[in-house]
Amino acid sequence: MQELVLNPPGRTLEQVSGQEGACRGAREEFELRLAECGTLAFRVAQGVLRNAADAEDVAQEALLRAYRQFHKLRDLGRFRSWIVRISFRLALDRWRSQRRRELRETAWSQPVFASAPTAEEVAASNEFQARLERALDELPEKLRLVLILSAIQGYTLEEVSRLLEIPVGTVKSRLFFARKQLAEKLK
Amino acid sequence: MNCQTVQKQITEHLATLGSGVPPKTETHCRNCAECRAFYQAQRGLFAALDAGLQNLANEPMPASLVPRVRAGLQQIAAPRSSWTPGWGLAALAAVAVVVVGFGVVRTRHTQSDPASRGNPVAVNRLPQRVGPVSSDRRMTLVNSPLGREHGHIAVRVAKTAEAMPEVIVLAEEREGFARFVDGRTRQQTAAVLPVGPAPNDQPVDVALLEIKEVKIEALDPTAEQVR
Repeated sequence: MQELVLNPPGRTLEQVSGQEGACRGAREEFELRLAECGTLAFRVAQGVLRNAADAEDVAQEALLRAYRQFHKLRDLGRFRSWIVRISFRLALDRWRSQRRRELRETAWSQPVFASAPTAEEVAASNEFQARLERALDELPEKLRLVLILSAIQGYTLEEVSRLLEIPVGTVKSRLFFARKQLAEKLK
Repeated sequence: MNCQTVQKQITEHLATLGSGVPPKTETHCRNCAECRAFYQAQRGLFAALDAGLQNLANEPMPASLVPRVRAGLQQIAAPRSSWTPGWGLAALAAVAVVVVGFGVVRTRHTQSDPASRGNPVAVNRLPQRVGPVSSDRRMTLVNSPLGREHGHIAVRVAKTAEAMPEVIVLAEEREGFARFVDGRTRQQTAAVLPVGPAPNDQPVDVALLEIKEVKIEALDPTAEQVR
């Protein structure tokens, strides 16, 4: 049994089938970019959240949000930049939410930081990684994002500049301040 | 050069991803044990910092991410027409068909009772005619309280032995259906579109519905015709 609808005038058969065709084209374009941009979205989220499960959730949400607005993107060359921004923003939102929850839960206790070991011992230490992550959390967002992207293998300063749609000089400058601030916090 | 200036230069040089230091700074470090130690410590710190950032930023993407996104894309792509009722509503309509049947019979019996002369609205206000359409189709009509909310009224057109199909209307839709028929018969035609996923991605099927005659009957075949 087929279901019919009595339709007011104005909506044509062409409108119905045209929308379906456009959806299929957008889906195929998106699928072509999915593997590469999935990795990028995940790594950006991981750089903020440092938890693979949370990063995967955020990356999924970022990709689906990007897909919903995909038809509005006029220049497909900007798609990766777009994914970076969405993923970073979602990761930050989740990170802040988790942090607020942690602060509420541990308000009664103070964290204890061990004194820094020598530089030679530091590189092999998980404790250093934890300190690095804490220091990273305290960086301003713009510096944090540049640091994460420049640390991804294969991403030159020029590539980071293209992803963030900022000049290479700005990337270098932000990287400089980010590394300097981290060194200050970690020494 | 004093040690404070040299140490500041060492930090800034290493922060700019430089591998060595300027010659003047190197000369000073060769002669100053404190600055030489500071330089070694800072090199180690930045090396550890870079290694830590590399670990953080280069975790492999989980294998489950792409399938999860594809599953999400399927849900986004699955068509949901704003003209169709939810399947829950369709199930409710199926249940309501039975209710309408009882309601109609009850109304008729009430009418035949001289003590009770209730006038079903739908019966009295359907002077027009419904013409034959493809049978076994559910028609979704406009102009009802439910229809105004969802843009349609759900009715079912069932096969009968006669050429003229039956239209079964929900009890609360009788008045709306009557108004619809009154309005539509003046125009004589209405466009129809199938809704919901077409089988095997076939093109949508459009047909015209012409209302020629409407005859109200009770669902109980043994009862006399109302009109």
